Amino acid sequence: MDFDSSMKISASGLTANRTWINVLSSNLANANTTKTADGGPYARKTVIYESKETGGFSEQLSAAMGEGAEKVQVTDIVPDKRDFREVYDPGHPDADANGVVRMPNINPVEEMANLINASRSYEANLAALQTAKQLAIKAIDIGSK
Amino acid sequence: MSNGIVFDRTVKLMEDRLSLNSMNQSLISGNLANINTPGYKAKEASFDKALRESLEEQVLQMVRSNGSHMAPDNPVQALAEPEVVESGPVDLDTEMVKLTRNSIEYQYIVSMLNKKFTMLKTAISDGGAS
Repeated sequence: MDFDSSMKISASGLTANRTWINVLSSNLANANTTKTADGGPYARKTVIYESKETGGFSEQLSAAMGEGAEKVQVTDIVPDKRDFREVYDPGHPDADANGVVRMPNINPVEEMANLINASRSYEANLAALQTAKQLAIKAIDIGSK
Repeated sequence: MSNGIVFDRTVKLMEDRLSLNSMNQSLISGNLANINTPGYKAKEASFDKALRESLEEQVLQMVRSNGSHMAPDNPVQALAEPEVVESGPVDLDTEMVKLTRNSIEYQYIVSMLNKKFTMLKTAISDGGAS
């Protein structure tokens, strides 16, 4: 297996984590959004990760030979099923007859913790990518001195 | 690469070792990419079995029944194919250590290979006498 597939795998990890960071940013930005296009408050969103066999010919060949390093892919972004927060605020334009406003089911602390996780995973993938690049450059040196 | 005069078994072994390290790099990248994938198991190339098989392999030596026969090449003992084993969930620290170790190994093998070639070049150029 060559460094090209290694770099492709790391790139898939970078993409997946960047997608997750985007989703988390959206959650944090909309932590108090009570109106959405679908009506009702903003629902927290979460990503689904899935490992996936790499696509190219050499990768398929390696997989058939049992080497099988796998890419990662965000297959779906789904709304969280938790109940909305209910806040008593009779003055709010979106309050119901009892003065209760339904707020997004978002806990900023949880989002921040996930953000750190996503950011560190991104860094780990970047380190792997840089190592692969370094080794590929080193391979060019074979026999040159 | 079985020409025992110029490229001996060291070159072949180092070549195999570089392929193994390159394969390990892919597996480590895969593990790091899937660190947040539910149910994913860390993969690693198990080298132990391959090494044991290589060591246990009985290599038949050619016999020179007459002193004027040509000397046989040293049989090249390539590393057997490593097998990929799955362990538990991905551990970030373990993977980062493996990544660093793999990279250092790769780089020193390249250096050793270059040293080997430098020595051959020295021999070819008559010990640098010119």
